Amino acid sequence: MEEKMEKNPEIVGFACSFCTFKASEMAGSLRMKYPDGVKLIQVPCSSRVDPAFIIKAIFEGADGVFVAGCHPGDCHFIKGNYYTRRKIAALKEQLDAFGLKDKLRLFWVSAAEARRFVEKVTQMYNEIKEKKNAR
Amino acid sequence: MLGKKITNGQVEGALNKFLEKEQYLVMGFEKDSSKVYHRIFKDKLDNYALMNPVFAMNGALYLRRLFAKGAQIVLMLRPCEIRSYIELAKLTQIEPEDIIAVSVDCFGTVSSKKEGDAPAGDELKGLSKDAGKARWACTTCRERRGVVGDAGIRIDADGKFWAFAYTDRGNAFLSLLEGEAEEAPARMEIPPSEERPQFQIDMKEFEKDFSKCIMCMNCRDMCPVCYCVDCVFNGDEYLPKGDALFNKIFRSGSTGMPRGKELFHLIRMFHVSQTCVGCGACEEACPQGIPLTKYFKGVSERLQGMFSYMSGRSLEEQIPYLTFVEDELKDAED
Repeated sequence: MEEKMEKNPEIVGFACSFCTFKASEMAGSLRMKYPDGVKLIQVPCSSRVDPAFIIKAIFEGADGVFVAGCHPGDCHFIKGNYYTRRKIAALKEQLDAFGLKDKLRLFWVSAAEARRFVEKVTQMYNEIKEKKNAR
Repeated sequence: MLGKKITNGQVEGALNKFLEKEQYLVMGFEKDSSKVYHRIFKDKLDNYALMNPVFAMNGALYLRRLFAKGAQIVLMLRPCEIRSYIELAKLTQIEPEDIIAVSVDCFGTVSSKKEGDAPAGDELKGLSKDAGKARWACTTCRERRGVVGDAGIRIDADGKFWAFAYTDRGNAFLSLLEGEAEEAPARMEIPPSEERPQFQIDMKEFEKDFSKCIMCMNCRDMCPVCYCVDCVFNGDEYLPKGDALFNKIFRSGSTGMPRGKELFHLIRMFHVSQTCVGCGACEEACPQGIPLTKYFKGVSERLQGMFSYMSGRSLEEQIPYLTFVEDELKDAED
């Protein structure tokens, strides 16, 4: 018997250009590895992410979506990520009502936290991969 | 609470007095032989009806982008319509300065698609509990009492009408009515609504319900609070097409047609989540009879509950997505 092909998930990540995207660049220059199924989209601020983008990503085939921004209080635009927090928390509640809660995550990663970024992303990737292959 | 008792025909008299002045308008209901419709009155009331037991559309829809420019408008509408007006005013789609919003107690409504005469008398009084006749949105209404807006007209347990003012503009409306303010009875005909269980459903049922959708977007067009001029779903830019449609099918499996309808409804559900008043105008406009209110009302109640917000409760309350508290939602991060 042929061994079953392992399915690799694809994850879309919306990364704030002032922190998370910088952290991902730093992770690259420090030669840290994170799964290549993670596709980052640079946004000027995490509050630029309209929940419509996330719903579109999920229903056009992404196995998971994350939104990553600066820690609350550290936003480049002073208060952008407070709005993100409200919007994404509400969207999570909506997806929860439809039983899709595990598809969306929210991370706070500052520009210096390359290791934290890699850990968070890898953990999410592995969890989603496990679920995808269990099916 | 202090209010004014209204005798028969007094509201009409007061509104007619108001309409005598130039540039003054009343938006209310007009009685036909069998049905009741919305109408904006000028100069004089004609076949006026205080309550409307037939729901065809939400009157606040026509208030969008209405800047009165000196005209004074009295709205004599159902609580759900006044609540949508308040939400639109918060979203700067209406200038509330020149509008006096008066909510009138509502016993529930029947669908305008239903044949036959509008319910009246005892049939009307028990309508909200009669799931066979009333619209689903009305049997699960969150606020049937006339307690929103600038002023309210309410019915006490004996069937007498009372007028109450909630703001300064409401006092201006009350001064049109004759008589002195007096203490109103505590018990009113329409009690506060009950809490409903939290909405929970799975995607399978969602797909089953929406399999009939033909993407005519009537639900969006008739929604009073879905107000964007440049909706992302104008044209098909936002929907998967060509290569993107191919990708969607290969990645997520077989897809229903017209494609992207789950996108449309879920995105719209989020966009109106904090402003949805659960009036059911979307379901009324749907040519396919999809139970849209179940989804939109369920999701919006759940999302508004997160911020202890209720759409259209007052003009001062900010819409949760437009404001924040620094110290909140500690468990939002994963």
